[in-house]
Amino acid sequence: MFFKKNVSKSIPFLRTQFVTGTIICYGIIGITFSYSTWRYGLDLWHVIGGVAVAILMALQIFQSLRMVETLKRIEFALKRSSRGELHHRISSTQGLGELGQVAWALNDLLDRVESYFKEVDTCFRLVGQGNFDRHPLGAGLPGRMGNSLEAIDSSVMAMKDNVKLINRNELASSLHRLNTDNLIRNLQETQNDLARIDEDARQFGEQARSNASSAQQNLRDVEEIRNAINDISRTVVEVAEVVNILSRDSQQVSESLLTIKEIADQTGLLALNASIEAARAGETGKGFAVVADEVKALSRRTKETAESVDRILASFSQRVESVSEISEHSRKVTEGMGAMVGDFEQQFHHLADSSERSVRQVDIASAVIYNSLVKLDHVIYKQNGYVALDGGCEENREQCKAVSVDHTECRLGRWYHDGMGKEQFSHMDAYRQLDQPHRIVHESVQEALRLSRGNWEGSQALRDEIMVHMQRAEDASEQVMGLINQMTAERTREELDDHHSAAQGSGTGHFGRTTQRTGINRVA
Amino acid sequence: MSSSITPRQSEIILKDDDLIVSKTCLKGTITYANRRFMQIAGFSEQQLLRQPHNLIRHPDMPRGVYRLMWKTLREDNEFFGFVKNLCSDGSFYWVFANVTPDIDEHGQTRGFYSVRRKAPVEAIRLIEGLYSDMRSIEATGRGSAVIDQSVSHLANWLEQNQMEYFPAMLHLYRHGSMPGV
Repeated sequence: MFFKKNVSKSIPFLRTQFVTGTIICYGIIGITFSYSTWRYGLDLWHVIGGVAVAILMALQIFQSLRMVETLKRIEFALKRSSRGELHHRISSTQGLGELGQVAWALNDLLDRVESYFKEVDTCFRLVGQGNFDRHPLGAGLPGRMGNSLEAIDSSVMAMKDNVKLINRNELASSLHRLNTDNLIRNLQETQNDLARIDEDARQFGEQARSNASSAQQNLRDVEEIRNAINDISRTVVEVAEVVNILSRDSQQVSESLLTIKEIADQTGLLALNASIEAARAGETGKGFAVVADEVKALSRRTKETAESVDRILASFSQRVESVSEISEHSRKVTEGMGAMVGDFEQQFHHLADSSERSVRQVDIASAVIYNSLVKLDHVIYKQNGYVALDGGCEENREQCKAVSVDHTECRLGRWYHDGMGKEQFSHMDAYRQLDQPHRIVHESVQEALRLSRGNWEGSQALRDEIMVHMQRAEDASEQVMGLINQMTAERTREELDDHHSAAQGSGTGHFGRTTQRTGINRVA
Repeated sequence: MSSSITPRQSEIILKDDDLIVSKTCLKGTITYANRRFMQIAGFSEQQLLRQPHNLIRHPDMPRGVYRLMWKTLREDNEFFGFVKNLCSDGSFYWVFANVTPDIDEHGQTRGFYSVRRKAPVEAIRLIEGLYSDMRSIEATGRGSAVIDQSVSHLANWLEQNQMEYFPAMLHLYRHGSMPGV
């Protein structure tokens, strides 16, 4: 061959080859024409033949150049297509035969490839906007392209289902979150309410305690009144007795006076007889008549005095009678008063008793309320744990902080270790058992939260572990609740037992003893 | 040129895997037509290139559909529609057309790309009734107002079927019927 090493680079392009060949051909025709004219003279047939060949050659070169131009367009379209521009087509190829068929085959290929990409682009653009209903249309796209569109369609359908699922989960999770947030808020509100009720109950307890001690004070006062009335009653009875004795004595005096009056009458008769005898004796009896007059006067005065004393005694006796009536009346009145004070005392007794019962019930209610508060705090602790797990600590700093609290620092912990819990329940078994499950709740929730900072989205094992810890927390929490309930029940029972034994002890109700035994003061 | 063709009641049925492709410039002048297009419509490449695309518009097609198409394309969205087209000998063929803006590598819309596929017979029966109603509305007057009425008739029809235009057309193409109809 003429050309170096068969390398295309060194071989001229078709156009150059055609042009060069044509020039050479025209050269040969010219030389042949010139030679034959010089040798044989100008011949018409030579001229006609030469012109015909030249024209045919021109047509040939025109067609060749069109082919080359079409090839260049095909090359351009292919180059642009390989750069991703799929919209180029080759038109106006009529009369180019096989080359035209190549051009149309290329057009058909580009039509299908462009249609394919338009389907895919449109479909995914809409999928990107959340519209999954623009199914790619595979009709007219044969073989791999059609199959590919079908595969894309089913993938898009799967994506649609997935998105549905994700959306449903998102909604469920939002709802859950909303619910939890509200639950915590509601629980906190309930907690506040309970705290207020607890405060009120304490105040009420104080009130009941002060009522109970006033009732006792009143009872003591009533007792003093009753004693005073008894004294009065006794005094009245004694006075009546004295008056009776006096009355009896005055009767005896009356009787004595009667005797004195008889003596005075007899003395008067004697004096009369003596006067008569003295008158009969005459002058000798004159002296004697004077004595008889004096005796007569004495007897009259004695009788007058006795009558005067009798009158005085009669009036005395009348007064003693009325004193006796008055003292009888007084006795009846004091007796009535005594009965009234007795009733009064009974009522005060009941009052003091019911005040004491109120104190007890308030104490029980107080314990129940406080235990509820403690339980609520515990529930809120867990809820905070769930929220922190669900949304992460960046978004839920408050909840995370709440969860990080140690089991001795939360409300339940403080109640248990330093507060009312230790004070009132530390003698119970339930109290002693409570610390461990409570510690487990805190530790498990904290551990689950710590694990949730890892890549749990990508690890089933980690998710399982988180669940295991939360399950442990829930189990322990159930124990905590159960133990608190047990403590509340035991406390209630204790209070009631204490009350019964106190009531039996107080019995017939000498109130001073009751006060010391029931322990109102102890509770206060 | 279109006015010179007299429509005939002779239908050409497309094959299932036929793909009719054409391109136009922004004004609707044909810049490319594939061989299947020429075979079915009976036009040569010379007869089609640099001609308006409504060369093959059939008089049975309501103008409201084209109004909707241009509106959609101007908003850079793809258009779907069932179209009855005219052949050079006056016969017709139904297609399901998908027209998209042809956007070049610089993001400029340089024309429109239309792909037409075989339309299912059931869909054609259904859409023929709708188109005929729209055309009767359009025949009552001239100008833009009647086309507006025709488009609102289409809107009412969609409302009755509780669907939007494109999902409805796509559903009709894929299933041959309207959902729930």
